[in-house]
Amino acid sequence: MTGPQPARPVPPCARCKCSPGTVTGRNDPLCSTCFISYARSKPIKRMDPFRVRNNPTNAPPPLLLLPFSFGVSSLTLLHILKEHMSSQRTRVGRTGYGLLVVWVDDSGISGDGPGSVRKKETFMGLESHFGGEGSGITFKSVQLEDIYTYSQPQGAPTSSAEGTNLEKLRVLISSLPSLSSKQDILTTLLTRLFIRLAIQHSSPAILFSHSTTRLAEKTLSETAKGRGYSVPWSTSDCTIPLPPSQFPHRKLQTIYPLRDLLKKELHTYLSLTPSLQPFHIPSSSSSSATPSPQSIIPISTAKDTSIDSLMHQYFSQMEQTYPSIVANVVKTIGRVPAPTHLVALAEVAAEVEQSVPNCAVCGFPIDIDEADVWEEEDRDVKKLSVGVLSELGVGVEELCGGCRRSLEGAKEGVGARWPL
Amino acid sequence: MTARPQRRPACLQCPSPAKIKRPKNGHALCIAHFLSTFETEVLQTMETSGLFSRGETIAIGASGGKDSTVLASVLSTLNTRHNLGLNLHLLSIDEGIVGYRDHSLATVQRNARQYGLPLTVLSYRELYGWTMDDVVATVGKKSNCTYCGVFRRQALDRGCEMLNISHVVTGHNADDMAETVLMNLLRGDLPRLARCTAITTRSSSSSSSSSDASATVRRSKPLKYAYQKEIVLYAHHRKLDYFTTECTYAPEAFRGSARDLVKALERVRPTAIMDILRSGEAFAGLLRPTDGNRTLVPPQKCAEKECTCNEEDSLGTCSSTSFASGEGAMHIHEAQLRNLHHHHHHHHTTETPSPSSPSPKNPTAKRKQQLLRSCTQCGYLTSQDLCQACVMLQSLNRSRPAVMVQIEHDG
Ligand SMILES: [Zn+2]
Ligand SMILES: [Zn+2]
Ligand SMILES: [Zn+2]
Ligand SMILES: [Zn+2]
Repeated sequence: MTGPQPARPVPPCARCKCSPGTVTGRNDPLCSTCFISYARSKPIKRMDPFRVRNNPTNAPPPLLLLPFSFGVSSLTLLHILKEHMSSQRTRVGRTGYGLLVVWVDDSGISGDGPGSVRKKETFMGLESHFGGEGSGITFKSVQLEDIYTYSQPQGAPTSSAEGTNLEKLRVLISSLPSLSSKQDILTTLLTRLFIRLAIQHSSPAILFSHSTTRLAEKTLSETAKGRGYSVPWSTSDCTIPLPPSQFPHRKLQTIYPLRDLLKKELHTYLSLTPSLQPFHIPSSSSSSATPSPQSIIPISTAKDTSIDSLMHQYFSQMEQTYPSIVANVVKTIGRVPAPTHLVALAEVAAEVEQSVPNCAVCGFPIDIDEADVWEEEDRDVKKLSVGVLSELGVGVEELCGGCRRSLEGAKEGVGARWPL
Repeated sequence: MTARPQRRPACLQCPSPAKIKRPKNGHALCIAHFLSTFETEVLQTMETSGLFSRGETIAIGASGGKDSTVLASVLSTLNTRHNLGLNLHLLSIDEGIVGYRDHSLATVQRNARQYGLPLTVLSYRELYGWTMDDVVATVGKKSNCTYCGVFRRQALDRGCEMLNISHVVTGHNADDMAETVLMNLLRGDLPRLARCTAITTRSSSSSSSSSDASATVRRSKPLKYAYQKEIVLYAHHRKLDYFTTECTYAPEAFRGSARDLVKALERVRPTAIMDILRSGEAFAGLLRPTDGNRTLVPPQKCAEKECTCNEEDSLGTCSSTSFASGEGAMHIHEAQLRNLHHHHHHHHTTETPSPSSPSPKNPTAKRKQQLLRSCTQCGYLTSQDLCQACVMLQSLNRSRPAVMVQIEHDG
């Protein structure tokens, strides 16, 4: 990807024309300086709502939540934004925003104890490297099971037998029928935890570090999980449709600053930024592909994979040969509008204290046109038992199609509780 | 029969032992109840979408393959059983593919006799002066689906016009629909994404003689929610006579890759096919214009109109199981997107080119008005002077002499 070619003359950088183009950009050879400035320009454009001049002089800058995972994407995003804030400070003497970097430790579920220890240490190192007095960046780590601290007290009666939050989370996840369901619900919980944290810290926006590749992957995997209706919300810069009955007049934005950069470009960025590399902990869960020989894009033929990891694998291959097609998928889905008129309706409904059609599990609005169809299918199939739902404390009419699917076939009688 | 203890679960609808685990939802059913459930679901699809009206004449696009054979069988069964009052008519297109279509046509002829349905066969040679074998010999296998799709689409319309039928049904199943949704996402084709899950689409019909330029043929897909695996099971247990050999021409790259993906997803979670379809329907709903002022689906660009990879006519000749070849379309699309990116680096337009238009179009060209008129050559409704088929025929006919010369040289 990088590095000079031995013996062969290096072409000049396509931008500055003077330095050697040792880095392959999307199309052209670039020098490392020009590549870095290309890679920074795109996310910074996405941060336009948080320019210095948008923030009054006497007000503290808004604190934006940045989910952090030690992967190449969130690490790169943190670095780019830190540099952005520094340049704001140099130019105007103050910044347009501050950052709340949040790492969610899921080792209670993944069982990766040693990994968790390493991440804790690395996170502290990260804090002393990036944070500190005047940096405008604060660091916070929480446990995934903390999602249970947001449980509504008016739910089904809580018995002491339910145990700790970690035990509750373990029971919930192990009650799920398949790897696809588990991964889907874990991602949902993580997203909802970030939303709760953002609300708790009065943050106006969450900065997700998904790359183009990751967003294309997410688009197709949400589609395959029957979550098409919420895809515009879960893949685009938008206002999250919070249930107004629960969060009246609360606006929370999502921004995907890295949506115009491929995963491989982020890897290049990391390789050109040695100071970042000690904080990079690649995820170990990359499933090994068993490509069928004739496919254009090799796809795992294993049965015991999940929809998410299948898509991950597909697009990792795709971005190597067809990066523009990957980018075009994201551009295309970005043009599918979220049904914001429905959210407006829901807000009106909340003011007259009617129930709002948000899914109890994923939190996104339910497609009322589609609800009947799922309902009908379910009536015949009865895979989603009444017992499971009452244990979870979720009504069947409070579920979107995608969540319904992930809960189908869940174990009954184990006492799984939905945290929110 | 003596009852003996067995571990097989009982049929969900009767005490007999279950023989089939439904691929669609895992239900255990006896064969009789599998067959009746399959039929009932097709009937429900027809009823909930108000597909047919009593006394209507319906052309069944019959290829002799499993999908259209099952469609013909189910429709004629339901028509009799529920007294639907439909006039069913088999319409078959002979593309002229030796070893494939000649055999499958014999199958269609047997089906027509068995179900007592009238049959009309139209050949490409009659309609266009070209068989698919001739086309492939001229343009190669890479873009043959393009030609076949456009030709067949028109052929069905023309057949319907000849028979004075305004509604044609095709055997597209849930797997095909799911594949098309993913394919349109991969190709970034928003207009097609918005309409590809519709159970009924209107297509322009030939209006060479009539002055009624708005005459359209409706196309419907009653097997839209039927899994391919269940169609095979149904055909097997009803002992239907269908033609099993798949066409040897490889599918277009995007479709091939989408098909691989759907198959892999089905292995991981069998309901994924249905879920992709539901997601596709949700996208269509989101892209539907909400009021008169706003059109959420961008109008089709002129290049897109020429995109001929037809999602609605992909059956039969495009259901090869080998995806080794046909990678071209993806490479072409990738290259076009890259060029566009270069071109528009300093502009703010986000227009995307047609995924498979054979010649690179100037992307900045102004959109032409979408006024439908008759093709100057054949009268088929089109927005250009010439319809897609006539454009293709023109280029084919240009290359015909060259082929002749070559053959002479070889011989
Ligand atoms: Zn340079
Ligand atoms: Zn949901
Ligand atoms: Zn039975
Ligand atoms: Zn014409």
